[in-house]
Amino acid sequence: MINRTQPLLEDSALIALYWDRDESAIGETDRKYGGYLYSVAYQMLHNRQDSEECRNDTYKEAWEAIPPARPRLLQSFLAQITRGIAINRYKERTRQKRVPSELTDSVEELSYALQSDTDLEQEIATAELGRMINAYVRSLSETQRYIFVGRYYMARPVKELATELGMTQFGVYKHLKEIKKGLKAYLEERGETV
Amino acid sequence: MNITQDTLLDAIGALDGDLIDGYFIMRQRLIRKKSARRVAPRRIIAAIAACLAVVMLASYGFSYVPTEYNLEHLNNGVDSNERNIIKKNIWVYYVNDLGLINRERVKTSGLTNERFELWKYMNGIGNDVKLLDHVTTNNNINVYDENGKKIGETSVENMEYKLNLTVSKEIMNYENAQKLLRCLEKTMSSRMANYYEIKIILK
Repeated sequence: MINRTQPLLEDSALIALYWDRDESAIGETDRKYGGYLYSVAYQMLHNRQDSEECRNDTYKEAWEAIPPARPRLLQSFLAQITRGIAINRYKERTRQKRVPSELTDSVEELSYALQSDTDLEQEIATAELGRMINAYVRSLSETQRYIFVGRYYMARPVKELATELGMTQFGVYKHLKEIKKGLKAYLEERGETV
Repeated sequence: MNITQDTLLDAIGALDGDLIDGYFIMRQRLIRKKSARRVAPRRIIAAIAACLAVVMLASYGFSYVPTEYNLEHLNNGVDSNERNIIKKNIWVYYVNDLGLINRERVKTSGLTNERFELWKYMNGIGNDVKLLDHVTTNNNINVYDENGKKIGETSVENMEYKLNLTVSKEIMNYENAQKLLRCLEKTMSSRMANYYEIKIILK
């Protein structure tokens, strides 16, 4: 039984529980990051039950991954797992119908921005595209990197990002426009050499 | 260039871990910054409250700025009970042109001498009429002498203060003398004085 009045454990202590194969690690993780992981999944799926399942699957995967993994940032590590699970579920669901979620909005806006007539029908391999996006994101400023990851990786609403960054939604949209334009140019430039 | 949504999702999903970590580090930093910003309104409120307190204390303090009159009496050791009624709104009673008793609110010291002078001024009484003596008693024990100096102990159980005023008999030369004395009595007993009985002796 988890005592909810207890202070939350530090990440290092939580990871130590995983390494000690102490099952309370899952309860403690849920206490500390459960709400956040749920929101990550919910932004992608817009479905309560699916989001809860994603969160629970995240604990299972984390339990299996640590050890040998020793994450530097547990929240980031867990969010990446949740995202992976949620994306798979999202793909399953989008085969049947469009999912009206923040992820749909973000991926649609990005894929639309990247459509080009210059190199028609040239399909880029996922791994290669991933490598190029990685390199492109590294070239961005810290704020733009934050906006890119927040919007396209974590599928967060523009409004939330704007609030966090202390700017207007218009300001974030302006950054997103620049990012998309830059990425398109980057991919077209590199695409010719692929 | 043809990128399907699935490809894009997978490609973005393949972002390096350090980029994602960087996002979370910055997010924590922004949240901390936001929390700090949230505190700001509280600080503003606290600052406003502090300013108000300073203004109120200052205005309260100014009410004790000694006038020539007060300075003389304060130096004579006016009791704190008397000082408590300094700069209060009191009613000063006067006889108007129609011979009726009227009153006016005046912010002034609550000291007996000051009330007397105000009563004189409002009623157009000259310097031939003086306050010769005034003694406050509590249960027949003298508490303040004519200078407002404390000379006896007050009784907490029985707060029946009595004031004996000795006024120049020249007051009787004035028209409506009885009404004027009534005004004096009412002026002395008005707000903050709380006298149980006021006795005016003409001498």
